[in-house]
Amino acid sequence: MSAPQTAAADLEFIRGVIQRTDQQVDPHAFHYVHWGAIVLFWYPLATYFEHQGNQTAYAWLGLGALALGVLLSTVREIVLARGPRLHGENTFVGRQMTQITILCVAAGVVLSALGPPTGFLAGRDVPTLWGLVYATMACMLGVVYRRSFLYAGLFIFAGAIGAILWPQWNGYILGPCMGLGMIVPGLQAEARVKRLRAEAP
Amino acid sequence: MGPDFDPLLLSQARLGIVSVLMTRKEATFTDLKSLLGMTQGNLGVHLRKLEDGGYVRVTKSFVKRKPLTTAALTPAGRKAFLGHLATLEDIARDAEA
Repeated sequence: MSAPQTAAADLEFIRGVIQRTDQQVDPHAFHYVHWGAIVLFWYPLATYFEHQGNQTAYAWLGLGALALGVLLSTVREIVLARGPRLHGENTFVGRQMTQITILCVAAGVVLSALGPPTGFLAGRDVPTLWGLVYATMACMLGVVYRRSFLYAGLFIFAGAIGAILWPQWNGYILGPCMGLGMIVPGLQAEARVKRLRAEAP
Repeated sequence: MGPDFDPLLLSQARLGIVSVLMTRKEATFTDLKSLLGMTQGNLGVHLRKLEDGGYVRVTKSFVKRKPLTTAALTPAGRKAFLGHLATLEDIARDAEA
């Protein structure tokens, strides 16, 4: 084989190996599905209770939603840690996704905690802040993992802009945008992991 | 003068190992075996050559009492792969021109 033919064959081989390796990554996305499902109901209900002036229900709803989300994520992580995973777990992409999620959630928690007491952010704007946090996180996941997260991030960002424009309806706008924006790409990623698991040798 | 190929990466088996390790920061022996469709013996030989050449760092440990071998690319291996890739691309580009 001539040098150009060898070079072309080697380049094709490298492309194939990288593509195969990339397809075997195993980043589970159930956290996004859980939290998407929670905000889908939490935010519209919170806005509803706020309009009703029912502060007790508003507070209990928030606490309940947070507790449910943490419980679901913890239980799923424990169950997952016990079962076998695909070859390729803890890959570079998986680690990047974890780092992005931790970074964004930590920023959201800090800003939510410090915003209202310092006057930087009104209490009612905290959901909008989380809309922007989710949008940033989804866009970053879209860059390192699947394009569907990028589109979902733009959808959530549009919802966050809507929430800024109509703050009195922010829960009704953000709930579906953030919920579906996390559930749809999250379920797609989970389906992909399931398929790869079925195909695994 | 012929093209400046990296002699260690002329073998497709070793090129495959390094390509996987360019995508992942590290890979287990089992990962490499299944991704590249290589036998245990063949993979072991090529990994050792890459390790001897300073391109790959092989770590052996025990997880739940089972031996686990992982491989990661060294900076020298990364540099060699990128240089080899650039040479391949140059040749392919020249052939197209």
